[in-house]
Amino acid sequence: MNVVRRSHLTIGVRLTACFLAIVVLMIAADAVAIWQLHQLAAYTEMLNTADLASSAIVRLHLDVNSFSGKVAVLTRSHDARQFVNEVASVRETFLRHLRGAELVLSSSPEIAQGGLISSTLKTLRTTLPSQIDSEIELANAGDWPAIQLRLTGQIQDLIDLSSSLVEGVEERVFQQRARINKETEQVRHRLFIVVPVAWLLTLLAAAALGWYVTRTITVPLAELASGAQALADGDFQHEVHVTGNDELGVVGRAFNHAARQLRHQFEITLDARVAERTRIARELHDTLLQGFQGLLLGFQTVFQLLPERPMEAKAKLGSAIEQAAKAITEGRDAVQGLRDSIVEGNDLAPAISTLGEELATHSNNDRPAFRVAVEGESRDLHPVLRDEIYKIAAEALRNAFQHAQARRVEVEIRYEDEQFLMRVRDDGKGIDAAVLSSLGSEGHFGLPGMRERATLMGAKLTMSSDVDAGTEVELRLPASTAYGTAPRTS
Amino acid sequence: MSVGNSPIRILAVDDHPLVRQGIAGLVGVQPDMTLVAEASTGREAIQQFRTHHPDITLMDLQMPEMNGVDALIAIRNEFHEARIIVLTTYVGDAQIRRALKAGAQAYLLKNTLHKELLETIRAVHAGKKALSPEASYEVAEHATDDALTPAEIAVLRLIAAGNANKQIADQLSITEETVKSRVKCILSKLGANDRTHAAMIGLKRGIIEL
Repeated sequence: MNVVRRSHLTIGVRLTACFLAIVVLMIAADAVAIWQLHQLAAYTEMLNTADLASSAIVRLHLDVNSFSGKVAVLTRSHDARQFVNEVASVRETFLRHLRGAELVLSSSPEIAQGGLISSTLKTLRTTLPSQIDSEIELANAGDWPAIQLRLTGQIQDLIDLSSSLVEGVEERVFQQRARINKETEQVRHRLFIVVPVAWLLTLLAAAALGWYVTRTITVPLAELASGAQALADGDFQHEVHVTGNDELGVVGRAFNHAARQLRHQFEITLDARVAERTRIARELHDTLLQGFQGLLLGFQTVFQLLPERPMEAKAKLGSAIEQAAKAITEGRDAVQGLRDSIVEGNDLAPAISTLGEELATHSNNDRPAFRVAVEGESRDLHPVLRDEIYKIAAEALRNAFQHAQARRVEVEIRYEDEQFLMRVRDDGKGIDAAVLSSLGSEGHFGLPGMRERATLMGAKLTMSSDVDAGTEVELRLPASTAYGTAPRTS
Repeated sequence: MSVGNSPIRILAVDDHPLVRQGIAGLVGVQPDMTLVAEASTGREAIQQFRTHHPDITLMDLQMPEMNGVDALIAIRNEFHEARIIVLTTYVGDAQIRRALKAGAQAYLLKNTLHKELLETIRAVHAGKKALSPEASYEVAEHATDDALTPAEIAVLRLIAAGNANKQIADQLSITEETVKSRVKCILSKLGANDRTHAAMIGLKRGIIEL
C-alpha cells in the first residue's frame, strides 16, 4: 500500500521522451549499419576497377602479340598493300586500347602507384607506333628480310615489355584483391555483430523504458483503483498514497480531499443523527413518560382508597384526569417538534402559516399579528430540505412568540432564481447584540440547532437583533442546492 | 401495621411535577407514611434534607442543576444514616451500580412504582435493601462485562452529544488519534456496530446520561 511515486514530469512528457529515445536509438543503429554497407560497396568498386585495369593491360599485351603474329604472316605473303592496311588497323586498335588502359589506371592509383607502370605504358605508346611506321616503310620498300629481322629483334622486345607490364599489373591487382578481401571480410564480420547488437540494445532500451513508464502510470492507478473500491465499500478512512506533480498526483490529491470531505460529511450526518435521537429520547422522557408515571401513581392511589374512602378516591381521580390532560398537551407539543415530515406536498408557506397561527394562539401575551409572505413563483424543494427549512422556521417562530413579546411576527419566503431565501422577523424586545454573539454556546433560542441544520444542508443562517429593535433570522440556500435536488413530481 | 409508632417521614425529589404529585397522592393516603417535603433539583433536595431529616428520601436520577447521584452522595456524606431510594425511568446496569455504590438502599423503576413503592419504603425503613426485578436482571446480564474506563466514558458522552472526533479531541484536550483508539475500545467493549449504536447502548445501560 505504501507506494510513493515521485514523478515530476507529466505523463504526456514522459511518454513522448520515451518514444523519442527509442527512435533515436533505432536511427543510430541504422546509421552504423548503413555506414558499414557503404564501406562494403566502396570495396566492391575498388575490386571492379582493379579487374578493369587488369583486363585493359591484358588487352594491350594481346594487341602487341597480334601485331607480331600479323607481321609474321604478312611478311611471308610479300603483299605490301595488305601489310600496310592491316598493320595500320593494328596501330589504331592498340592506341584506342592504350587510352582506355591509361584512363582506368589513372582512376586506380593503388595499381598505377610508383610510376613504373605508367612509364612502361609511355614507352609502349612511343615505341610501338614508331615501330609500325618503320615496318610500313620497309614493306613499301619491299625489304621483307629487314622486317623479318625486326620480328625477332625489336618486336620481340616489345612483347617482352608488355608481358612484364601484364605481370606487374597482375601482381598489384592480386595484392589489391587480397587486401580488399581481407577488409570486406572484416566489414562483414562487423555487420554480423553490429546489427544484432544494435537491434538487441534498442529492444532492451525500449522494453526498459516502456516498463518504467508503464509502472509510473499503473502503480498509482492501481492504488487509486483500490482507494475508489474502499470508498465504494464505505471505508471513508482510506487514503491513497500517490504523490508527484503529474496528472495522477493531481488525481490522488483530489481523491484524498474528496475522501476527507465525504468522511467529514458522513461524521456530521452521523453525529447529527445521534444528537437527534438523544433529543427525541430526552423529550419523550421529560414529557410522556413522566406524565404516565405520575398518572400511574395517581391511579394506584385511587385503587387503594376504594371502596372504603370513595369521596377521597373521587377527588384523586379528578386530579388524575387533569394530569392526563396536561400530559397529553406536553406530549403533543413534543411530538410536533419531532414529527418527520410535517410539510406535506410542497406547501412550505401554508405549513409555516399553520404553525405560526397555532403559536400565536398559545402565545403568553396578547396575540401578535402574524403574516406569511411569498415572493416569486413557488418551486419544488427536496422533502428533506423542506422539513429542515420548516424546522428552522419553527424554532425562529417559537422564539418570536414565546420570548420576544412581539406585536408583529412576519415570515418572508422568496423563491429567487439564484437562491432560496427565508426571513423570520419580529418587532419584539430583541436581544442585545453583545449577548447575541455569546449565545451560540449556551444553547439559548435554539440558535446552535438552527445553525447546525443550516450547515448540514449547505445554507447560510444569520441572526441579527438589538435591544428594542426586534429580531431577524435569515436563511439563504443557493439555487443549485435548493431546487437542483428536487425529485420529479407529477 | 405499626400505627402506634410515628409515621415514616418522606422526602420526594423529582423534577417532574406530575410524578411528585403522584407520589404525594399515594403516600398521602397511607396511614403509616407522611410526605414532609418535596424537591425538584438535587440542590433543593440537600436543603430539604437538612431542614426535615426525613426517614426515607425518594430520589430521581435525571434532574437539572444537580443530578440524583451527586445529591445522593452529598446527603450520604453529611448524614451517614440517610436512607435513600432511587427512582428512575431507565434500567442501566452501570447506573444501578453507581447508585448502589453511592449508598442507595434501593433502586426502583418508575414503571413499577405503583406496585413497589409503598412496600419498598417500608422495607428500607426496616433496614433492608431492595432492587426492582427488572433492575436485578440488568445487573446480572452485564455482571461479567469489561467496564469502560472513565476516559472512555468521557468520549462516549461527547459522542452521544453529537460531537465529531475532532470536536471531542478539542474538548478533552487529547489528539484525534487517541479519540479514534478510544472509540475503537468503546465499540468493542459495548459490542456496538458504530458510534450511534455505542451511544444508544451507553444511554440504555446508564453508562452515560441524557
